[in-house]
Amino acid sequence: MSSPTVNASELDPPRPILKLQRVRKTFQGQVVLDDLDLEIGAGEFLSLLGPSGCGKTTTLNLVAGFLKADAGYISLRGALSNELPPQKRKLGMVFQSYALFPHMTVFDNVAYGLHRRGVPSGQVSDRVAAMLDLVRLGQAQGKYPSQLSGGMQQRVALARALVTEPDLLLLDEPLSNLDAALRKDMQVEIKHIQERLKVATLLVTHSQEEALVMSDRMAVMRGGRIERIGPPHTVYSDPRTAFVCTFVGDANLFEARVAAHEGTPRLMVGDWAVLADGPLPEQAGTLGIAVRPEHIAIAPAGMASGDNVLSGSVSDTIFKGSNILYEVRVGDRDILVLGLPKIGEAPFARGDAVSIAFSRKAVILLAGAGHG
Amino acid sequence: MAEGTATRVTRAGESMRGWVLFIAPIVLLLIVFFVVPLVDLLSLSLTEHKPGPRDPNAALTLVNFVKILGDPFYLAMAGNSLLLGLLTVIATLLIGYPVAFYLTRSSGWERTLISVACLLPIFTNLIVGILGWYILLLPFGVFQQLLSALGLVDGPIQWIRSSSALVAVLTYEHLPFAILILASTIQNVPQDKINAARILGASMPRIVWSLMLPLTAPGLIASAILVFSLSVSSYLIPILIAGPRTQVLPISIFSYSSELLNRPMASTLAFILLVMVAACTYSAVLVANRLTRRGSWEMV
Repeated sequence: MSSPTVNASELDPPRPILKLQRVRKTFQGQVVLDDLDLEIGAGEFLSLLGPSGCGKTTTLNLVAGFLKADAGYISLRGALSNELPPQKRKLGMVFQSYALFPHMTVFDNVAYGLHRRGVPSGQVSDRVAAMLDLVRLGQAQGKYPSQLSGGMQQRVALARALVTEPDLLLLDEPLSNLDAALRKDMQVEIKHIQERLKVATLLVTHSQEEALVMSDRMAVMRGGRIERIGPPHTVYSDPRTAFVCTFVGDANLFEARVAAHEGTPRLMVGDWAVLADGPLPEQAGTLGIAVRPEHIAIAPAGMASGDNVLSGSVSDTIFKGSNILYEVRVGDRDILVLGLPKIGEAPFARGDAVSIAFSRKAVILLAGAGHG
Repeated sequence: MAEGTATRVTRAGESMRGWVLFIAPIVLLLIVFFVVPLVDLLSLSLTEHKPGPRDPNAALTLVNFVKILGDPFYLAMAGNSLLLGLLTVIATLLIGYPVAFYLTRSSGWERTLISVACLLPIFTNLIVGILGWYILLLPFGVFQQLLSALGLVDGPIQWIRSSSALVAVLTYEHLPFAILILASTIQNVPQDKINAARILGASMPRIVWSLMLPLTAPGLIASAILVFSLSVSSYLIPILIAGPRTQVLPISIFSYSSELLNRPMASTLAFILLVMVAACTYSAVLVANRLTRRGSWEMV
């Protein structure tokens, strides 16, 4: 049975839950957001990643309605919402401090939003109980926030934000107050809950790990602009700029000269010729290139093979258990190499002569001159 | 083991001694200037009034208390004092809370202006402040002329001896203390919590009712207690604004002790005022703690 009419929603791209167009914000003459464009589709998990002062928190506050944009358009569910107060935006939000109401029990905290939205009190207790079960806090209904651990408080905050079934969830550095082990668990847990409820989510974070683990797409921000946006894997493997390259993951940055060699352009770093894939600019000039430490192999002197082989000596060894970070001195440069401990072999020690090698595919070409 | 215990005991003894040294000045001050006069006040109130110097061996009697508590005139006066304190507290909190809220959210010149406006009356001499109000409130005074010029009233209005004027001046004098206390507690409520309530759909009145009032309850109680005890024990403001015939306890206490030279009666009235203030304070704390379920939660 084929339907004669085509379902419109299958043809149109899904309408974005949130759309920012050329949004500008200045504080005391200082530009914090500079013509920002951003879109979040239904059910999508988008992270804003950047150092402090890059405008990511301002963006979140504009979306929540706590701040007003100086220029540009903020649309929620297809409707222009610049002037809509936070009360009417129908969003869920988890704050960095959790912002729980300390004088209310866990139950009352979670029920607060339902009461404000006029949900009949008969349904409230069922919905609160279901949401608390989802965040594994079914037993804590009658407790006060001060009687809970940090991780539990954070799950209450998540339950409170999600119980009203918002179609956009805002997360403001939600994990930064937790210890490292709990943070890893919560990353996965939040992601699972988000996928289960299919709620579009905007996460603001300065932790690249959070952004990489949780996002469908991530936007790396710098100086009020989005420098690179895309799925985490794409951003990581093709960062385009030196800033994104070093902010997301580690990288060895080099400034390379493009020089003609036997008719074809070739990359020179100092006096090493570097073999690389990808289109090189025709004109002679300089260009930033990067190689990630995990793409470089390390071997005893003379034992390495690959497209690009360099020899040097180990100047530092940082043992991290599952991996070892070497700093290898090559000429007048220090190159970071990530090695794996091999069973039955001692790691290289400071002063050992080594060869390092990386494939031409590992060379990342960056836009403009390298400014690392 | 035994030696260790001994050392610990000595240490504890030393730290105890250290504590005693630290709190000794304040304890001494309290004993000399608070406990001793209070005991003296109570013992004086338990003696019968006789002209002449005080008799150190006078028999203890409840005659003054019986006289006051059995007389509707004094009961009405105590009620008057209570009502005056209560009305002043209500007026102070109604004006002070929004001002304090605005003060904590403002910045720049607005903040400076409000802070200075709050502090100046404290530094102004009380009598100067009261006389200022006196001139404003006089028949054909500034308010009167202003309202007449606007055509709102015709002829003199009796403001200067009215109890509403008394409440107004008491409110004016004690407002700065309330604002300063309230501002510091309101400041302690994180903006995040208010934002969380907003994003959950709470209107501003709802946020004040369900979030701000419970979380700032300690400051509300503290300023209410302060304003109440200052107002019911104020002597200068009632006598200058409402006149010497005003039926409030401090004026009666003064007249017994300085005009009628009946010190036992004055002490009894003063003691009753003291107990009244203490009882009101304590019950206010109890009620507020119960309403906000304080003690079972802590600020996070």
